[in-house]
Amino acid sequence: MKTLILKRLCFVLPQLVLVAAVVFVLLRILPVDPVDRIAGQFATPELRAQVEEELGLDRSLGTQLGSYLAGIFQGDFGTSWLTSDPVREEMVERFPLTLQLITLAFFVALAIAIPLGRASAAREGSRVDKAAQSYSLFAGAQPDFWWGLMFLFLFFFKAGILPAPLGVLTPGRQAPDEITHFILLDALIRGQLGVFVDALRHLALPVITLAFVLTGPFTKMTRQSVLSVSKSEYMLYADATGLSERAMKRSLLRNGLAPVLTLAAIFFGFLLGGAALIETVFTLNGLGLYAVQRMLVVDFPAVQGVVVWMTAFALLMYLIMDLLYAALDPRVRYSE
Amino acid sequence: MSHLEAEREVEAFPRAAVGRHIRRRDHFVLLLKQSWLARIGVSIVTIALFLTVFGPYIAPYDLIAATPDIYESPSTTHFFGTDGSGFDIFSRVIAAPRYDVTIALVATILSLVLGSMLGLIGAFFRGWTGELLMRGSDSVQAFPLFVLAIIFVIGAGRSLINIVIIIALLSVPIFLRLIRSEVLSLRERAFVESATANGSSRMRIAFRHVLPNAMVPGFAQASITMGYAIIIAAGLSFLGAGVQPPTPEWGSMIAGGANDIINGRWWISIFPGAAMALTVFGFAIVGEMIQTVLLRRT
Repeated sequence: MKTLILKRLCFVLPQLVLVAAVVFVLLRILPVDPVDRIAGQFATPELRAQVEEELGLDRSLGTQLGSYLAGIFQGDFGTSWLTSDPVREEMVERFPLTLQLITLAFFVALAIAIPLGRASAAREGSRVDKAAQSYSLFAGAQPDFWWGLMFLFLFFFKAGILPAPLGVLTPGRQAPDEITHFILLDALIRGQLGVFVDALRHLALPVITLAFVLTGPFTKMTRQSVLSVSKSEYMLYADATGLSERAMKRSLLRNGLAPVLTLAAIFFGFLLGGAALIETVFTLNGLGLYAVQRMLVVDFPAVQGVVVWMTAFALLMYLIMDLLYAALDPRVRYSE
Repeated sequence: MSHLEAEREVEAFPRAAVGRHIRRRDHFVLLLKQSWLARIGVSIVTIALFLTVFGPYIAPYDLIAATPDIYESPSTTHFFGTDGSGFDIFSRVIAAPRYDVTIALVATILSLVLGSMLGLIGAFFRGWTGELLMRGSDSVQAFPLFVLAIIFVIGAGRSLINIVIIIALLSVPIFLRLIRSEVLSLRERAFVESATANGSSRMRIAFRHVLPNAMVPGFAQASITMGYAIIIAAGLSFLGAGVQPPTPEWGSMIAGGANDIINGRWWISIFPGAAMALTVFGFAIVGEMIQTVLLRRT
């Protein structure tokens, strides 16, 4: 177990440096000119030179990259070209919202998909199975941002039971003083139940939308994986030795769930940025929306910061999932 | 060798290719007869491809010329209503596959070809070349891919070509892995051995014997990737990082009506989105069908 963790950590660091370097260089070789944007198209050459120097773009690419990477290792993601605030602070303000959104959506999606996939696998070929398969095929092939708008129309405009898509709190309501930066947690810690409920109501539709789309692949994976485990020779053997129904079910679930977790980790990594669409629909000031907005105004440090941050977080998720996998599936544990 | 295994070897044998082909087609027809879902999928894909070619020509109104009717709800003159600029939504919805489906189709074909080539190389040259390829494709997966697409398209310019390029590049690793694992299992089969015994060169074996067999799962994945590519292309323009309005494209049409929906003008976003959702669903079904046919064969 320990060697597994160490081995994986050894890979994480170079991968992170590689990702940072690729984004850094990519931004600078693409034909957008930040000096144009910041100094204006009709700036004098002197002004252009001055802006270039301020942004550090007058130095060679290698020097720029070197000092950027050195900064990251000290937790310094540079200063935003738009607001002149440290990128790290801006990300710390926005990331918790994205994380709460995705985490809630994953819990909801798994809570639906795992029982559904199991039921579907248990009655292979039946009507229930076919319906579940059709559903998972359908849900997995849907554009989330459009469904977000549909749900808004139904639950906000028609039914009027959920709030307008204007952020995570009703405008005018005071956010709790920050402790963890996670608004739901902060509200609970401060005992502000009203704020907690308000935030939850604002998060309900985006969470439902994401969860709906995620149930597609999760249900399919659960079904496949449970089916292949239940048809495996070791389960046949377990049955033949007269193992109790409960013990059988437990090992079926343990071995069957491991691939679902891996898939979940991959989707989690994708959604860190992919949630930008849902965040746009519901005006949630998360990290994905931040990345899009800052790229549109050529704020390179902010964009780089987001990519490095998301990659680091995704790699951490993969690591955790691999460890969980090893804990669930003895074959992985012993082969290491 | 058991009876079943023997049968499988015969089926994979190239000389039986003609017979295998008919049988695959039979499976397809059988699937169409048995499953209503399969019929829906094939119909959707057919309509989508038809509209990709003819959509702009059969649209009843000009695609980017405003009519005097602004914010009109669906009626017999405007089937899907009109938006704030007076554009006829029905015309634009059926013309949009010209952009969305074409982007997805070209991107998918590019990534299928590139991914298959690299997968083949990765499987046949298992030394440092293969290792490098696999590590490279792993590293791509570590990126937040959607953000990368946004960066690339905004940075390189919001042209159709750039959108196609980035979607194709992001989809290469899927095909690389799939074709590689397929080739790795195929090259252990008896027909490869016999081709080697015949004195066929490595290149000939790779391209004539192994690759054609490995491509079928590739096509199944391609149909699924088509759907995702449509979602990504539309998602990019929804965020203002893709095809520019007033181009008739589903994502930018949905974005155009996003603020109207909370005022009750539902038709502006809902119709383009529904068309897109159906199309993606159709491609997903066809991908699933190909996979099912494959499973029945072996």
